[in-house]
Amino acid sequence: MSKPFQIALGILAAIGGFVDIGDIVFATTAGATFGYELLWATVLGVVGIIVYSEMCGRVATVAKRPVFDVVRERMGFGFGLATLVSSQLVNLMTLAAEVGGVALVLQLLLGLPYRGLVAVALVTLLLSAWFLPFEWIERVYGFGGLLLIVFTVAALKLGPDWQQLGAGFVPGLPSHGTELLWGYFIVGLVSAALMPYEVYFYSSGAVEEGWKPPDDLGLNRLNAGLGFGLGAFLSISLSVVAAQLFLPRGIDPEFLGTVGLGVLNPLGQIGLLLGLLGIFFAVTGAAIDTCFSGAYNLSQFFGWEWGKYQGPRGAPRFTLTWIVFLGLGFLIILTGVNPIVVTEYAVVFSVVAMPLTYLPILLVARDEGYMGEYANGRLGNVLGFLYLGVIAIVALSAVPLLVLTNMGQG
Amino acid sequence: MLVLVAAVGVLSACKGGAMTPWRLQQDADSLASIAADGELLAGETAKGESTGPFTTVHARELRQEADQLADVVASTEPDPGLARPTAQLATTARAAARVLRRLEEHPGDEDVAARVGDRLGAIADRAEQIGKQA
Repeated sequence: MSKPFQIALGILAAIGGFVDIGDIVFATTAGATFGYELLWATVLGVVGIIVYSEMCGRVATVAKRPVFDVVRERMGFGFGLATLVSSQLVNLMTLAAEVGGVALVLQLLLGLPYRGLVAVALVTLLLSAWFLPFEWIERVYGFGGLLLIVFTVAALKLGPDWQQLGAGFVPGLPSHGTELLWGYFIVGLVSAALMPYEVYFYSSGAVEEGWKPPDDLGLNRLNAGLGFGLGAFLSISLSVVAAQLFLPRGIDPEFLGTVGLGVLNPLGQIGLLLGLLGIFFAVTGAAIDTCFSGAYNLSQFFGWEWGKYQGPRGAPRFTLTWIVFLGLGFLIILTGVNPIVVTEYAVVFSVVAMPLTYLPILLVARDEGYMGEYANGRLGNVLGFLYLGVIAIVALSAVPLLVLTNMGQG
Repeated sequence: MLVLVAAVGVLSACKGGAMTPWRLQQDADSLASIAADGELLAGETAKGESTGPFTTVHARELRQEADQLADVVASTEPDPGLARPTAQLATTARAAARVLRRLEEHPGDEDVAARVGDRLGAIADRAEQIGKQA
C-alpha cells in the first residue's frame, strides 16, 4: 500500500478530534475572540494526542489490545464501568451533534429543509458504515476532510501578520477578552484535541487493520504524528482565518455559515464549495468515528466479538450496537437541540473520561513485562506523565469555567 | 455538577430579567456581531460570489438570532437610566431582522444585497453606539 493511504487511519481519527462540527466553530470562535493568541493551546493539545495515540497504537500493535480492553484490565470493573458510562455519554452527545452537523452543512450546500436533511445524514452514515470496508471509510472521509486545506489557502490569501502569528505559538496572557474566557478557550482547545474517542477509534482501527510489530510500529508513529499533526494544522488554519477576517469586524461566529464566510470572502464561490465539502467529509468522518467508538467500547468492555472487518455475521452485537448508537444520535438531534451547543458540552464533559482513559494507556505502554522491548522509553514516560498532569488540570477546571463564562459567552 | 451546569444553561437562555449596563453592552455587541456577519454575507452576495442556498440559509440563521435578541431585550426590566438605550437596542435588532429577511428572500438579487449590506453596516455602527451608553 502506498504511504499516503497508510496514514488514512491517523487522519480520520484526527479529523474527528480536531475538525468535527463543534471544533470547527470553536476554533473559529477562538480566533475571532483572541486572534492568534491561542494557537499554542492547539499545539499543546496535539502533542498530547500524538504522545498518547502513539502509545495506544503501539499497545494495539504489540499486544492486540485496544484501549478499552486495557482500561477494563488495568482499572478493574468499577473504574472501567465509570469510564464506559462517561465515555459512552460523550460519544453519544458527539455523535448526535455530528449527525446534526452533516445536516447543517448539507443545508448550506443545498438549501433544503433541515429535518429532511437530518434523515439524509442518517441514511448516508448507515450506508457508509454498512457497505464501505474500514479502509475505504478512512480514505473517503479522512482524505475528503483534507479539503479543509482550503482554509489554509484562505488564511494565506488574507495575508496574516506573520510576526503576531509566530508569537501566538508562545503562551501568554490575553490582550483581548477576560482571563476566565481565555481559560475556557484553552481548556476547550486542549480537550478537543484529547477527546477520548480518538484513541478508542485509533487503537481499535490498528487492530482492524491488523498492524504487527515491528514493521507497523513505524506506520503507527507516522499515523500518530502526521495524521494528528494535519488535524491540528487545519484547526489552526480556521483560527487564523477568523483572526484576520472576523476579529477586526467584531464578529462572534456562532454558526457554520459564518465559518463558510471565512473561505467565501477571500476565495469566492469555489472556495466556499470546497470548504463546505471539506466540512461535510470531516463531520461525516467524525460521526463514523464516534459511532464505531461507541460500539468498540461496549464490545471490548463486555468481551463481545468486535470489528468491522468481521462483518455483521462475525460480530453481530458490535454491528447492532453501532446501528442503535446511530439511531439514538438521530433521535436526539430530531428533538431540535443545536448540534454546535451539544458538541461544545461534549468536549467539556469529556474531561471526566479523560484521566480514566489515558492513565491505563500509560501504565500498560510503560510496562516492560507486558510490552517487552516495545515499552515506553524515557521520553515517552516523561511526556506521558507530563500530559497526565495537563489532563488533570483540564479535568478540574473545565466545568467551573463552563459555568463561570456561561459557555464562553463572557 | 452536571445538573448545576444544565440549570445555568437553562437560566441563561431565559427571557426577561434586569437590563444592567454589563448586559446592555453584551447584547449590543451581539447585535453588532450579527449585523457585521450579515454585512459580510451581503457583500459577497452583491459581488455575485455566494450561492443562493448559502445566502438564504445563513441570512435566515442571522435573522432568527436578531429576532430572538430583540424579543429578549424587549422583555427585560432596565436599570435606572437604561430604559432608552434598551428600547433603542430592541428596535435596532428588529430592524436588523427585517433587513436580513430581504436578503434571505432575494439571495440572487445583487442590488438588494448591496443595499442590505449598507443598511447592516449602519446597524452595526448603531449597535456599537448603543453599547457605549451602557
